[in-house]
Amino acid sequence: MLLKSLRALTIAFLLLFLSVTLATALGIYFSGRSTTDHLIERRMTAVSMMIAPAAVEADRLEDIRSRLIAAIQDRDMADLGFILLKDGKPVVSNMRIDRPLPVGLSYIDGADRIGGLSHGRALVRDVGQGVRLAVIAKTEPSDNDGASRKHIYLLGFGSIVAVVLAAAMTFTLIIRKRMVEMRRAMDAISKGDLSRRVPVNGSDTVFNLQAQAFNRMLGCVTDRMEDMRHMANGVAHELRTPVARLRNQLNLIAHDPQAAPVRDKIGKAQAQADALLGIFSALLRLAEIDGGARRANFAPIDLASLIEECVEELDAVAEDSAHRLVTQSLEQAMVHGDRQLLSQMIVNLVENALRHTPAGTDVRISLSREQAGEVLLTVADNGPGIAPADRAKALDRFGRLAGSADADGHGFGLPLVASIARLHGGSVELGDAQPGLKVDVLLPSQPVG
Amino acid sequence: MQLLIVEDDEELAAQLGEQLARFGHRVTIAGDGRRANQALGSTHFDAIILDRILPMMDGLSLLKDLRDHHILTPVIMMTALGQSRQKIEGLESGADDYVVKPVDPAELNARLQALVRARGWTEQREDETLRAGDVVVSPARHSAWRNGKTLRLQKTEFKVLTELARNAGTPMTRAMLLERVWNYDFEPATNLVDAYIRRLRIRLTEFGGEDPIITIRGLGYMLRE
Repeated sequence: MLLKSLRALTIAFLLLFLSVTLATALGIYFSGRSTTDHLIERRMTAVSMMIAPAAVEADRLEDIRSRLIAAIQDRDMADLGFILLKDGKPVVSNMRIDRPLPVGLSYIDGADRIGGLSHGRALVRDVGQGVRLAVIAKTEPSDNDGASRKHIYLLGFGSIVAVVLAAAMTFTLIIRKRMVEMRRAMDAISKGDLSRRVPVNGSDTVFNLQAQAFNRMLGCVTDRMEDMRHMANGVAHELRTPVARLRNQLNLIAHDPQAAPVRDKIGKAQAQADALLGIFSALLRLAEIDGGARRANFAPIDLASLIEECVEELDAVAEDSAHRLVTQSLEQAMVHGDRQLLSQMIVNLVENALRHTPAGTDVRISLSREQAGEVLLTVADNGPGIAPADRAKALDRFGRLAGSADADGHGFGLPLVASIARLHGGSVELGDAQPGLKVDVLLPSQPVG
Repeated sequence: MQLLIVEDDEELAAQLGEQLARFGHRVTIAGDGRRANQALGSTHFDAIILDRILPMMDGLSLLKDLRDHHILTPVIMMTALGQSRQKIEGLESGADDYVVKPVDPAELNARLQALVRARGWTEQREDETLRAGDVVVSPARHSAWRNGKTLRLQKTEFKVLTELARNAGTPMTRAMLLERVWNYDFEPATNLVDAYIRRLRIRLTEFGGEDPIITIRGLGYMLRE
């Protein structure tokens, strides 16, 4: 078994514990029995030898008989049974047994119907001259001693197992609960909710300290990200003003009659300044989306209708560029989101396909409900596509593909789509439409109706 | 138009003033809220171009102050913050329109014209029929005619025509049309507006007649009056 999961580890521990406990219980039970048997055998042998010593004598029977009677009367040996036989006939005995006992050690049980004896041992010795002495002893201090001992073992070891089982389960549940809390926080953070933290209480338990340390780390990471965002935001803001001045200056120069010979060049410089301002606008838009403030405007949006609306609007553009927009099945789906941003996402996806594929290309749009409360928006074309190695670059805001950013494009279309999807707790994946590019946007959905 | 620019960046204000003057406006520049109030006390302005961030008294407070004193001069807020939340705040504080820096003077001029023109509509009812030359648009009946012939228009084409007719004789920039017709707070990367104007032109000239839509290069479109 692979001990990689908490459950496997717990089960392995419990199985090991159960085997060791069972082995211990059986060991104690059987070693107890064998010790008792051994002590009883020794006692029987000693008593038998005392009554009938090994040495053979002429008046043997009489001596044995008198020692036996004394033994029977001895209180210390009241728990023992004796049968003295001469030529197979009983001479002296304090108990009856219906079968001939074999010479040597043998077992006695309930079938021998000896009152008060359910388990015992018998030692039978031939002491010569047709005389045979049987000593019988109980191996159980009381009736059904074995059963009650088993009962005690079951109860004792059973409760130990139950306590350990409960402890292991509780321990597992506590660890699991903390892990789940941490995982939920991490999931929420990966989906863009940077304010999410692992729940903590005031205690100084190891779990709590761990959660606090984790939250501190998250705090540092989000602070750094915030700093970076502010910096990017600040740079875009700060640079926009001088570039705007530059563009205004170019505008003024362009209107000057003296500038007539270089007006074309001024026009190019103006276009470049405009492209730069376009990049700043896109960066600020990205910063606005990444900042998460737009979550405040989130409302239930009928995504299928919104797609239909946006695609209908873009149909005129597609017609102009000789593309065909095909809306495939649009399943009803509600998402919790920002209408403007979701519109921008759909428009950007379709525009991306229109702008990067040749005339005559089909652009297919579909929306399907996936398992686990998610919806999948797919925009696929049958154009040239993007090589697998370049797909990650296409989603990177500064990884524009060689030759893909045309004169009027800043190459932020797909990164904006990715940012908007992330803000809505979703993700974007580029794939092969065989042929062409397929963009899958997975978004969490709300129940319809 | 008599315009007041309230902007603390002197160079930017001067450039903008010079550019707006080229469109025939008379421009006064105020570097902060106090100077703006002084100017407003002595001159009648047709519109105010107000920077959102100003030293001492920010643009939003100045605007609230104006509206509290029932000074209803049209105001275009101007800000470096292109975020929609700030845009909503500005409009809620009583601004009539909103432009994001860097301001394109032609765009600002178009917005000023539309704004001042819209002020003349106070008597106009929502269900009133709009007329621009031989084009008639009835927003209430969702119908449009040219020379008495019904135009077959798709929903968005009709919205574009309505917006052009409402502002006939005034240029509408692409950004203005995107905001008013599509309600987009972003600029699509494709020529969405141009594509719809092209379609609209086909519908308008279906039964003959000159194209009533004038293209204003680098800015937008205007419906002939």
